[in-house]
Amino acid sequence: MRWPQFRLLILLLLILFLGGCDRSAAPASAAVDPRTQSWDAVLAQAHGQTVTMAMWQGDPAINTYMRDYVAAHLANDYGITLKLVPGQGDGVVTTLMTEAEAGRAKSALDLVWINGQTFYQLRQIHALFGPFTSTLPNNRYIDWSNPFIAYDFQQPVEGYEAPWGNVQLLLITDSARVPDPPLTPQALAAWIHAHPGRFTFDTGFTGMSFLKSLMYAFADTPAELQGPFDPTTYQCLRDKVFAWVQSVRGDLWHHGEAFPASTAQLHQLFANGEVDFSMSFNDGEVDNKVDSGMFPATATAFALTTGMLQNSHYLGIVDRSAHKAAAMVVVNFLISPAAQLRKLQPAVWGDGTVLALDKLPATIRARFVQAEQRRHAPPRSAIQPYARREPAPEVMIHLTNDFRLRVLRE
Amino acid sequence: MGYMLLYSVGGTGLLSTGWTLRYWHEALQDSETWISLGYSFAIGLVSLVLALALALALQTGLGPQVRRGPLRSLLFVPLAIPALVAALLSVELFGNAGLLARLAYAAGWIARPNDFPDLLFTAAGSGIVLTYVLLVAPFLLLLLDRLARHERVDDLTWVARTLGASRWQAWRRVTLPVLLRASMPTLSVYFIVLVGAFEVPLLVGASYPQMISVLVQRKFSQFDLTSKPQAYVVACLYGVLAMSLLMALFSWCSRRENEGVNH
Amino acid sequence: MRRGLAVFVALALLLPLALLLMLSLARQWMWPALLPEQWQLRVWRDLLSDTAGIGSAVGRSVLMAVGVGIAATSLGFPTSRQVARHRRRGRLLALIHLPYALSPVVLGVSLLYMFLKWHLAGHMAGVMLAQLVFAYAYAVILLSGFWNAHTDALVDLARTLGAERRQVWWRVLVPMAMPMLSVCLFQTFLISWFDYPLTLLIGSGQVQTLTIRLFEYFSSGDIRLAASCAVLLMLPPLLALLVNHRLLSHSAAPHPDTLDD
Repeated sequence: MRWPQFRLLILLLLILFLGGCDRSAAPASAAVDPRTQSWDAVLAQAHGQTVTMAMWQGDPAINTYMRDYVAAHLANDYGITLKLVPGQGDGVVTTLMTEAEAGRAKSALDLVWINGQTFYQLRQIHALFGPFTSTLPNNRYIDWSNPFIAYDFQQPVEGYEAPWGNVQLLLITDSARVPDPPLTPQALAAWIHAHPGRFTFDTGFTGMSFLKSLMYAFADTPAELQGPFDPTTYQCLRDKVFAWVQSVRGDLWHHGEAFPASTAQLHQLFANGEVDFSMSFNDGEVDNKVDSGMFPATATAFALTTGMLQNSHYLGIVDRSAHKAAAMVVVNFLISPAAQLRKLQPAVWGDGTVLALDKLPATIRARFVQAEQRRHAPPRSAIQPYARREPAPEVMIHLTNDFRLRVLRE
Repeated sequence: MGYMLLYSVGGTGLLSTGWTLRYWHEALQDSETWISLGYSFAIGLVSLVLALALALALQTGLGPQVRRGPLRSLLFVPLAIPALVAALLSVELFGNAGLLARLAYAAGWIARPNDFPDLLFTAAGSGIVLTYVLLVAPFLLLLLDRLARHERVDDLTWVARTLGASRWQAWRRVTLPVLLRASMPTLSVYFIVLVGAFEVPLLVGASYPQMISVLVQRKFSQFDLTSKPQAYVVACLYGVLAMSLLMALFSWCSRRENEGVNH
Repeated sequence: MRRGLAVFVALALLLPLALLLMLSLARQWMWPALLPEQWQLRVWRDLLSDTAGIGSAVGRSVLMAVGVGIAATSLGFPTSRQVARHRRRGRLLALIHLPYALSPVVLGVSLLYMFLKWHLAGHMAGVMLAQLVFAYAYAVILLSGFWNAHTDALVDLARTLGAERRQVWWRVLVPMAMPMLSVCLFQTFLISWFDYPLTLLIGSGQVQTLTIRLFEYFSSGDIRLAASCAVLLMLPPLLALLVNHRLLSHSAAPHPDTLDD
């Protein structure tokens, strides 16, 4: 009675055959490098193409912006279909790595939304197309003189990714429960001891960034954390930060035996009333969340005066993409003043702009200033003095490992 | 599986620099690997045993009620709950600021969320076990009931009782073995699923020790791409261990049956 | 006492659904309130406003899940019989557990590599095949508990009475196994319906199922959004359950096994 297996085998072979058929290696028609063409030629080539963009889709507000505003404009004005797929961070890196390993000529992705860590990894595997930003017409508005934009985790961008937005790490709290928020690590430690179990941070990117911000607090000068990675400085600062953590550990949430795995969980705890602080890398996030009712109406955000990280997030074009021309047009649109302006509004997204205001025409400039009205989060001008640049990527690698080894496993 | 093995010894992979046993060396020496493996199997076992116990108890307690009326369909409900949602519900119910805690507050037993006993996020894994037991027990109940009818347990116990066995004896020596034997394959698959699960331990478990899938995922998404093989090592190790365990279990089972047949 | 217990269990089983529903409709629900302090419909409105996207995602999910469920169950049933009668039954059964013994992430990536090479990645057929691997294994394991001396005896009896092989299957075994088969169908349907990692990786983002769309919202941290997504995601299986319940209680063939129905 071998027929069931036989049938299965036939089924499999059939599928393989079919699968092989419709993907026959029609090599990506040796497309002309869009960088060598005039912008009009690029637009012409882009017309009718579909761009697949991988982005984090966890925020409905951002999804609405991309779907209803960006995609609509791209379709109407340029004839480009924007296809949004979920993917970010390691997911994207894994996909691109595996594609390369399997020897695929064309990638499934064209455009990716990334930041420092992912940029570092993607450059390691040579998955990014570039340099391309200088060929974009809207590039002239970008504030390249701003080190927070020109450098991604201390790495020069070199035109391999286009800045898209700019954010600063902030602590979030409820002014009804915490009328006088602590502004330094020492004050925070005192608060934690006075209110056991009401503070914690996550073991993910945001939580580790919080610890990196604390490194600035314990450093003698911010310059110690700039430039290439220096093991000695790192270890010295790391020990100080861990000492701080251990000193408050017993009074953290769940006595410091467990930490939330992600920022999402931390937000839940805060919204629930289980802890009194949360943190976010989007300084405009508080406004969003208060509007949606997730956070209480008395929620506010603040920065530690000892320094909080600020960084930018970027757009990269995949090297094996078959639609580079269209992807460039999309990027150009996303960094255009109109799109950036809309994105800045707290009701839409609240994401900081990467454009240099002084390079914009006066009328638009005024609208930018207008748009950034925040009700619960502090205006960017108030927190800019406390902004600190991201240290080299190795700091993140070592800090995450060391945190696990020295703090979690002791 | 072969691909995973290759990757872990550096045979393939984008950033590999040639064959090396370095990753195996590192992983085997790292105590976290072993602790995580042992922890995962232990949690899986405890969860399954407790779920089974609950299901058996309910089966005896509810009897024919399970086959009639709305209860029969309601028992399918937990099946329609994916692991991620189950973890979410667990947090909302059993967390320190969850529903149970708020009921305790309303009853005046506690004053602040901190005072509520820590059910979730404990190193002992109580949250994970709790979630699993509640999620799996209803299905086991259904399964046991179906199997009981299929194996004609009622007839068998009736025979035993007429031969003079007490209710407890009839249950222990007839019902229990029959049901266990018939459900063993399903129990085994659930065991493996529980041990290798990801979402529940991630959202409801402690930061250390971690269950094996969480560990593999963590190692896989490390910042340093060159250490990706580590994840494959741990995964291979887990796979081999799990399979050996299952093989042993099933061989033992069929051997016992063959002996039974020969009597 | 029995009735009391039954009622308690029934309520306990309904509690999760009620809780999810309340969470999705809550605007603010902080400690120590037992019920939400503020309510709103906004989350549902926003979610359902994307009707086109959601509609096609539902369609795709249903198609894939039904396909995988049927394929897995119908292939798994005969296989489970062979496994059950095999001499090396123990080892075979253990071997079938293989997909579950490998960590989902790593397995997903390994499968992706192979599927990319075979040009299967990035579309529905590839994803379904990957899901089938799991579903088929599950079906075989679940259904192997069906075969015992009783079924063997019945088969022999039917053969003696002159039935051909096909008749034995369709007129004796399948009706007898119907309750278990329906459970298996439901379970394998769910394996495909709730699948996120395989669809994401092997679909390379091209295959948009309902689960994919909704799981992303879990990472936003907004529990009301997550709860409403959960309800939406669980609705079709629950409906299928309702339908199934009706089908089961009107199930045809009178048979010694089902006399007490």
